[in-house]
Amino acid sequence: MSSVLLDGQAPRSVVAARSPEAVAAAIADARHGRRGLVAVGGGTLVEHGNLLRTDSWDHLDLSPMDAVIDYSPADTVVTAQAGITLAALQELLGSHGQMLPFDAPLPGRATLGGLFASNATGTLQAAFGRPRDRALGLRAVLGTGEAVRFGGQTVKNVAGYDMVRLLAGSRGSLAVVTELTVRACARPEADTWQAYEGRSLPALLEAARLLRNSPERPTATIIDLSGCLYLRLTGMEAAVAWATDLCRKTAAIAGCTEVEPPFSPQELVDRRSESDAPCLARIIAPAGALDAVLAAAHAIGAVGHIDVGTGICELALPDPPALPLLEALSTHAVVVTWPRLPIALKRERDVWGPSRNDAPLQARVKEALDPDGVLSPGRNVGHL
Amino acid sequence: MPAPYDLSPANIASLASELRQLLGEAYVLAEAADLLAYDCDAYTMHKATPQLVVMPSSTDDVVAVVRACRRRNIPVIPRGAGTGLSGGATAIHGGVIVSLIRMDGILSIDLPNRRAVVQAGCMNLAITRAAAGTGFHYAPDPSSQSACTIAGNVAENASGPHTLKYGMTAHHIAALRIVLPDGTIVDLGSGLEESTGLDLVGFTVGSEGTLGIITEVTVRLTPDPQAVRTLLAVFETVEDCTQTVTQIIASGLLPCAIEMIDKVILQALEDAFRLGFPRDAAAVLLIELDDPEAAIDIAADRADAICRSNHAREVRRATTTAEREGLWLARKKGVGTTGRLASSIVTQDGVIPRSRLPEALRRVAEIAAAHGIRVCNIFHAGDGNLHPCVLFDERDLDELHRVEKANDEIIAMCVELGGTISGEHGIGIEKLHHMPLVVGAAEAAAMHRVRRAFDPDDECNPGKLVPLPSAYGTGTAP
Repeated sequence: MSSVLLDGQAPRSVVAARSPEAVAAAIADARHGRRGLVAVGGGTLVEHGNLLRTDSWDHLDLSPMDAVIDYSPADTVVTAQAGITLAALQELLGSHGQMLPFDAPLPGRATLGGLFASNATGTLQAAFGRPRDRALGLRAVLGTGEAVRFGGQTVKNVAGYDMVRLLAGSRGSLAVVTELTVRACARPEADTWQAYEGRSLPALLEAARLLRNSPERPTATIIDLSGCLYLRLTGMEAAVAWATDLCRKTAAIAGCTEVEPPFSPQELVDRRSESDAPCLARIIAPAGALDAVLAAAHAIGAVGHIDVGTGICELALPDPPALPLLEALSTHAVVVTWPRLPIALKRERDVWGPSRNDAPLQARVKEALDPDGVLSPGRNVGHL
Repeated sequence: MPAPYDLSPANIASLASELRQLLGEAYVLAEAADLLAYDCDAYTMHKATPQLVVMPSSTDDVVAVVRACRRRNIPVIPRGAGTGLSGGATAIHGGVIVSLIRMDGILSIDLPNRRAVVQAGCMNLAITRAAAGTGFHYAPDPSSQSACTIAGNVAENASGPHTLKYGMTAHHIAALRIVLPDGTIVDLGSGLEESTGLDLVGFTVGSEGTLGIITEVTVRLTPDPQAVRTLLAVFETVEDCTQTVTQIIASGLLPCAIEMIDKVILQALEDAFRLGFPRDAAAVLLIELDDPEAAIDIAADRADAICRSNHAREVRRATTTAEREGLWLARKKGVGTTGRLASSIVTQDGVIPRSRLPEALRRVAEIAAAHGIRVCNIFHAGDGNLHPCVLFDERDLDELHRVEKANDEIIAMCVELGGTISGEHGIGIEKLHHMPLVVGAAEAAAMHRVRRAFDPDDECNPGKLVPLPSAYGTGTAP
C-alpha cells in the first residue's frame, strides 16, 4: 500500500504489519523514537481526525493481515484479522447464506479493523446497529506495547470490563486491533430498495417520519438532498411484500411519487467517500432537529443525505465559509463533526465538535492504555 | 488488597452524623438490625455487613455522600434492589452502601427519539409500564424485572429471555450520568444515535458499580412487536432438543427467545402446577417469535417444521395472550419450582457457543454424576447461556464441598468449549477466582488501569469484577 497523507503530511515510513508481533515492534519503535503511529486499514475513513500532534509519524499498514482465523456458520460467528476487506468477508459469509450487516463505503477497500475503529456503517445502521454491537472479542496491541485479548466468541459475556466496546470507535487511539470476532446474521430473504420524490425536502422529511414510525418499520429511511426519499425493507419475503405495498400507500398519502432509484444503497453510501468536496460534515441530530439540519443544508447548497432512522446526516459542502451555519446547529442539541476540512479550518476547531464534561475522563482513559501518546496522537476527540 | 480504609467507629460515627444532617435521620441506617438486611444481595454464599446504609434522593445528594466518604477514607458500594446474583452489592471490604431506591423517577419519555431518561433506582418494568400504549417498551427483561433497578441492570449488563433478538442492556443504553468517587458529575454519551470520542457508556455498562455511582440513565425504547407466536416443543432426547436450537438459528429465523427446560424441572412443574407436560419427555423448548402479522405464521410454521424434523413429539402453539402466558408459566416458575426438589440450590451461569450445546449438557450430566450431585437445567438455549441448577443440602458439608467442585468443573468446561464464565449474572465476588480462566494478567492490568481513570484510589465498590494483579502469578492471556 502506498502511504496515506494526513492533512498533507507524509509519514516517515510505511510499516507493513504481517503479524501481531510486527505491530508490537512498530509500536515499540515509535515509542522509542518518540514518533506517532497511525494504523490504517483500507484508508477509506482515515482522513476523519484532528491534525496530528507530531511532525513525525509512521503509517502502520494493516492490510496484509487479512486471514480468516475461524468461521462457525452454526454459531454465526467469524474471527478474522483486522486487515480483511469487508467485501472478502461478505463473500465468505454469503457462501453460507450469512452476512455482516455493515454496508460501509467502499467495501472492496474498507477493512474489518477499520470499520471497528471508526464504528461506522451505512444504510443498515438504524436496524442492525453498529460494528460495536456485533464485535464479541478481539486481539490487540495496546499503546504500551502489550499484546492482549479481550472478549470472546459468545454473544453474552460479562467477565470483566467491556474493553471491546471501549476500543470500538476509538480510531486506533488506544490500541491497534489485529483480530476481531464478530457476530454475523442470516441474509434476509428479501431486500428491497424504493425511491420517492415529493413536493419539497420538508415534505419528504414529513413522509420519512411517517414511514419510520409506521407498522412497516423500514430498515432504512433516508432522504437524499437531491430530492429523493429512499426506503429499504428487509426480512422474510411475505413481510417485505406486505410492507412494500403499505409503504407505497403511505407514501402516496404523504404526497410522494415512486420513482426508479437513482442510486443503489451501496452507491449512496459510497458517494461521500468518493466526493471531492473540500468540506465533509457528519452531523448527528435528534429527531426534532432534522428540520433545522435540512434547512441549513439546503441554504448552503450542501449535497448528501439524512438518515431519518439514526439522525445521521452526511453532507458535502461546496463552500468552506458555510461552516458556521452548520456549527450553529449545536443550539439544537446537534453534534457537528467534520470528516474532511482544509488544514487552516482544522487548526481552528476540534473536528469532533465541542468537548463535553467527560473530556478529562476521556484523557485519563487514553493515558491508561497509551501513556506515551503514540497512537494517532492528537487526532481523536479533544485532540487526544 | 485495596488501600486500607478507615472504618473505625469514630470515623463512621462522624460520617453518620454528617449524612443524617444531609439526608435526614430516616435515610441513614446504622443499627445492626437494619444493616443485616444489606449484608448480601441475592448471592447469599458470602456475606459482609456494611458500616452504614444511606439513601440519597438526588444526584446532588450522591455527590455529597461520596465526598463525605472520601474525606474520611471510607469506600462506597452502590446498590439497587439487591437482586444481583454474584455479590456485586456486598460490602466485602466494609464501607457505606449507597442505596438508590429513593431515586426511582421517570424523568422523561421522548417518543420521537425513542428514549426515556430515568433515575438510577427506577424499576426495570416501570419503564415499560410508563410507556404502555405508546407502541414502545424497554426491551431487556431479566427475570427480576419487577424488582430490579435500571442502574443495577446497567451495572451487571443484565439480560433475559428476549436478549436473543433484542440484545443485552448494553445495546439499550444511550447515556449515563455518573458521580465519580471524587464527587465529579460526568455525563457519558450524548443520548443520540452516536457519540463522539471513546465509548465510556459501553465501558461503564457491566462495570458492577466500580467506576462511580450512576444516578441517571437514558435508555432506548423499542417498538412493540406486531404479532407474537409462542411454541412449546416436546422432545424425547436432549440431543434432538439442542440440535433444533442450532437449526432454527441457521435457518435464518430469529426468534426473540429460545428457552430450554429439562426433564427434572418439567416433572417438578407438573407436580406443582399440572401444566399437562408429558412426564417422560427429556426436554422442552419454548420458542417465541415476533414478526409482522403478514409473516408471523410463516415463521411459526418454519420453526414448527424444524422441531418436528428433529423428532419433536409434540409442538403446541399459543396464538392468544392467555395461551402465551400459559406456556411462559413453565419458564417463569421453573427455577422456583426447584425449591421442591432440594433445600438449597445454586444456579450457575456459564456461556458456550450455541453449536456446543449437546456436548455441554452431556458433560454437565457427567460432572454431576462424578460428584454424586443432582443438576437440572433451565436456560437461554438460543444464546448458549447455561444455567445448571445444582440441588443440594447446605447442612451436608460433604455435599457442599462436592457442589463447589462440580461448579468449578462446569465453569472450566464452558471455557474449554470456547465459552465464558458468566453471561449475565456478573462476576462480583462469586466468580473472581474464575476470572484467570478468561482474563489474563496483562488484560486484568489494563482493565485496572482504565478503572483507575475513574476511581484512582479504589473507593468505589472495591474488590469486585476483576482480580487484583496479585491474584495472577505470571499468567498470560488465555
